[in-house]
Amino acid sequence: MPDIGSAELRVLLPVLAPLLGALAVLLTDPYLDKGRPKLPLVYIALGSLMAAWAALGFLWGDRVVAWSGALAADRFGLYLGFAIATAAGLTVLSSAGYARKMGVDCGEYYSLLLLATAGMLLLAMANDLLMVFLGIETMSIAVYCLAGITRERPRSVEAAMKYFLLGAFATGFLLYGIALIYGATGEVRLERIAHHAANRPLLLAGLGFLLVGFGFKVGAVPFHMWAPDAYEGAPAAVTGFMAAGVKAAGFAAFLRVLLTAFGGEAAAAAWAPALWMLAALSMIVGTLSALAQTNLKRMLAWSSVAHTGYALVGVVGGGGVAGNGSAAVLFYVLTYSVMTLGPFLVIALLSRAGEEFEQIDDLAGLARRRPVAAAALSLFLLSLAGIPPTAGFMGKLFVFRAAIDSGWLGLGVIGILATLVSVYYYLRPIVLMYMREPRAEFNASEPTDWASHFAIGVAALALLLLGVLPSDAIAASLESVRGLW
Amino acid sequence: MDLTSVASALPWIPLLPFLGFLINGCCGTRISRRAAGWIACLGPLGAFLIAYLGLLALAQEQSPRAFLECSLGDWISVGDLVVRAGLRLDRLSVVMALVVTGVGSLIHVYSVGYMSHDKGFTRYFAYLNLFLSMMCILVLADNLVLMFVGWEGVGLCSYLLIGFWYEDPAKASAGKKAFIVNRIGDFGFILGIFLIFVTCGTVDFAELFRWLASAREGLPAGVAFAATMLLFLGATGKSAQIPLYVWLPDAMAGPTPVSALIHAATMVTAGVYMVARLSFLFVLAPTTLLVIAAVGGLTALVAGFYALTQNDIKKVLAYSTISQLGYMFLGAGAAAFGASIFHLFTHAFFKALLFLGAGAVIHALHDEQDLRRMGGLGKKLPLTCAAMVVGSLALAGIPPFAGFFSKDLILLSLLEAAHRTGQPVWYLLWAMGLVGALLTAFYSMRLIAMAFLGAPRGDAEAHEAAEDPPVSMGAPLIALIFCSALVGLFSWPKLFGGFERFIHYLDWVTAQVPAAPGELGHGVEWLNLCASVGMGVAGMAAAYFLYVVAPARPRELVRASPALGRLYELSLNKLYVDEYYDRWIVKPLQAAANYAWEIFDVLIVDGFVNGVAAWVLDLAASARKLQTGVVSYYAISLLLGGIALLGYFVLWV
Amino acid sequence: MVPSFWPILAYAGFLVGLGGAILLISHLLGPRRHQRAKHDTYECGVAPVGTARERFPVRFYLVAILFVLFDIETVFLVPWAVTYRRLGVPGLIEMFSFIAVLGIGLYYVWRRGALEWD
Repeated sequence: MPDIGSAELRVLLPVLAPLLGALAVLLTDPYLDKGRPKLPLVYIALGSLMAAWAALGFLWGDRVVAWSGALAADRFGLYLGFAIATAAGLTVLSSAGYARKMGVDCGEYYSLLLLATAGMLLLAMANDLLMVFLGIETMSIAVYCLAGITRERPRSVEAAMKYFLLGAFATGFLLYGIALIYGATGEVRLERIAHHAANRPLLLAGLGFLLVGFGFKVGAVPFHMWAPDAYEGAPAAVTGFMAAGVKAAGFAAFLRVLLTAFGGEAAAAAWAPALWMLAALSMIVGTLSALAQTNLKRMLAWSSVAHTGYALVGVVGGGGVAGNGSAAVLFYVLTYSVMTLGPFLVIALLSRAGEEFEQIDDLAGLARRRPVAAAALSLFLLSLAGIPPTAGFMGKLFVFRAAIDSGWLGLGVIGILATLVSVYYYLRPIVLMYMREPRAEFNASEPTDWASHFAIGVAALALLLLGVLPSDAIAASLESVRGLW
Repeated sequence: MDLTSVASALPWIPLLPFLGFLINGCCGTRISRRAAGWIACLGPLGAFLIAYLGLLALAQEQSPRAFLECSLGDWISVGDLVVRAGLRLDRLSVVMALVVTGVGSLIHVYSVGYMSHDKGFTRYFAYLNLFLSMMCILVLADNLVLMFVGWEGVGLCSYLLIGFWYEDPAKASAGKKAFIVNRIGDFGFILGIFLIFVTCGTVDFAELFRWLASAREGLPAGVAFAATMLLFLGATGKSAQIPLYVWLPDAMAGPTPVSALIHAATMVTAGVYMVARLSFLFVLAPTTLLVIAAVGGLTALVAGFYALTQNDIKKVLAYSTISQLGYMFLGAGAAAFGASIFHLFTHAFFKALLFLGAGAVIHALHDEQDLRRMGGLGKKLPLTCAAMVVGSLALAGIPPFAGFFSKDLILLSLLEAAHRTGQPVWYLLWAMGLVGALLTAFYSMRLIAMAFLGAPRGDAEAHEAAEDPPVSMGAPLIALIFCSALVGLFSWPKLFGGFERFIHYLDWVTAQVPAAPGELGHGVEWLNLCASVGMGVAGMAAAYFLYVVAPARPRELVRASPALGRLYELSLNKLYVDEYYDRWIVKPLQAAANYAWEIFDVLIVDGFVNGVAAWVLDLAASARKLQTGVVSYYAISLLLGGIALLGYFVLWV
Repeated sequence: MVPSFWPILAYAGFLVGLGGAILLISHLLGPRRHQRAKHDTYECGVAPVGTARERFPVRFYLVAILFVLFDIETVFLVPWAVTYRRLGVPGLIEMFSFIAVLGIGLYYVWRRGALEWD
């Protein structure tokens, strides 16, 4: 029986805040008028996320391990925890208007968002394999439901179904991997697994299964097939949250497992070539597939696959604790979560009642009608393309540099080539927005959605800040990786 | 007075004008012209005061090498890649900062009157303030990259201000010409920076200095030569030296105060400043120094030759500027960086004075710039005339005006270089400098004679109506008259028992080459002095004779001797250099570009790129087909991936 | 360690091979006679009436899912009840929080009308 002292509760705070928020949403919703906008739910959600933010900030510091070593509040987890909480907050802000347009302005929506956030934060702090599983499931089940929440739209339901089926399949792999690792070592705690020699087939087989599970969550080729369909079908705000939050949380756990449980030299030498392959495939397939897309959300889905590849480049070139690669991944995922959320916020803003704004061709002439949205979208796309002075450039620079420094020249070259090709599909929407005559009608007549604009503004500002003055964030990422032990 | 805190105020030197730029640029339409003028003038004045406090603070320091420093923090620090930015005020940069902000303030005040009727009043001051801010960054930068930021910034402002009246296509294209020619130089500059960074691993001036001092085998001679030549290429662009001087005469399309500030007093001297700033690097490459001196001497001579026959008052001054910049490089090439900077210092005053005086003439005659349509203005515009005469005397190097002291020092430094190195080429350069001095005196006097003496040749009505400028323009003129007459005294020659204070002030911040054993001797110094003054007096006398006493003589001379006529033609048409450039560089480039476009671009590049693009898009289409939308296939992909991973881990590792 | 796994791997390979082989062989050798009776739902027995894809009211699923949900959660009460004394007050608090969460869910479902049959 663990002693439930204050340390245990403190560590749990970031997870508890959105969890209690979700319950509060469920308790409040039935008392609200059906026809009116459900602003109290937005306030509760925002409040609980701010509380989570505050809890993360409060825990920022030395490593605290609690719950018999199952949870670790260290900078490593908290670093991406900030990204997760921020992404969730911006999603909620954008949802205030969007959920109403889509007719899903209800308690489930916000409570699922908060539950998913709780799962993500749990995942980011999970320090044993069971907790990893618990976090992944809490996050995933909520996100499956969110993907299908606009149940009037067949594609949304299809997305949820596919995501769920394949997710369950991948979870099976993950669980089997955990079981094998437990079988080989008798341990589920990450740092204890590290004490066992890594060259045993059973342990390595377990690691292989784990990679399948994590690869699925972060959308690495060949475990990525769900991503385009799920991203396209899910409502835009949810897609943005999926792309930013799920990936950030997935990478947090992925990286922590690799660095802590399999961070030894022998183990790293075993998984590096496998991840090399995943990274290269993700970059190539993601970039090539994105080229041919006509749907903005689908294009961004493939782009997110490619970006998983870029982040994996940093994982491969991690160089263990001493190298900068792992820190580069943290920084990369932080910037990526902001810059991938951004376009979806814009899509959510531009969508009309019950109808998603998602065809790339519809962007034609947007700059004329909605200059702010067009400018913000351009900034996000430029950042995704990795063009200075945006954060995307700094992230790519940091990751590729780390890989090349630790001798993975080939991977760096593939990454740079993929980046070059990717410029084509990132710039095309910008060209359309600024140099074509408007084709579609934009909903200029609706009252301005200030919350959404605010969220977009915050994301844009964050990208510029991280791009121009990245020193603090990079320094924090380096500290985070060092603080892992 | 405690001046230690001045260092932390350094950022305000560029920031104050920048604030002016922001205010005038952002809400220029909403504030009155009066307020805009005040705001524009206060920024540079404030910056001048801070720079002056900096001078006082430096004076309190014991060491001549002391400097004030203000770190702007690390811009990026990733691994071993650290880019810092900071401002640094030492004896060299304080001189430059005072010139830039001081002359700059005067010209701002002058502009308030000069531009008062222009509809782009606030836009003009926004640009001018931005220019001043960028120039201060250039001057105060403590590393090459930040200097380059300022370097590009002033280039941008120069472009904006040359093409200020952009409705006129000729003026807009003059701006473009300046921009493009400068790009060539900047290309050299940035390559030089890269080379230095790759070799020495730093771009910070102080660290570079330490690196050069401490590196065991020092900088390889080849690298030193290449780096300095590349940097000098940058300087020839910005400071309008052969072969990149062609943009400066066209740059006169901008408003006259802009010509005074940017294209005479400050920006064009940035190249000289850069060479002085990096003098410790340049002295490692004696060949480069010789090249610098040769280019400077040739430019001084050729530009002086052009100026002889120009009829546009501003063109005369423009070529004069190019010629004087040539003198500065002559001095720098002779490793007399102090003398070079001193000439920069005096030139800033008297050339600004000449330009502002010319501006007053143009203003009085309602945009008349042709010397042939002036004449007899001396009585109508006494203040302007006085200004032009003082400026011309200083320019011609007549004692005791400022130009005399600095030009004399540069010529003397050439003799010293000849003595030190034993290379006779320096005597040739000295002779070129002397001939240049003769030309300078001649065209200065010609300008005075054509504009102010003799009978009016232009529109009688305009001549009648011409009057001296209002106070806002007159006051800066008076201030500059005094400066042009007196600043030479900062370096009273040793020959007359002086101490050459200015030169020695800079001793420790510019590189010194070891002096040759033995002095030059007073005889040589006297010879140099007499020759330079003699040239000045002779040139002025000749011009006075030809244009005032016997105005018909030039025509007769040309008619009598075809060779002289040919020479006149050559000078008037500036040796046809623009035509040569057009014929041999611009046209072939255009033709090549066209050819390249047709053959290379359309056929090969487009073919290749389109081919690759088509291939990639084909690939993309096939990749897209894999994404069938059927869940079972997705699951199989997942399964196969899992099996592959498992196989790898169990069988391979 | 490695050798002890070979039999298992071999066995697994054999099983997969056997299964595949049986399917393959029957696919290759099996006669194919398409008759109406062959395609009936039940080859022998009562002939089906109407379509098998009958539409049920979605409430069946809703109620079924809610039942399964709460049913399974209730199972967690059993281990707690068994170790009730050992867990003491903290256990009591934990269990009550658990039940409270469930209760809130039930309350929400109820208020949203998921339990109404019409």
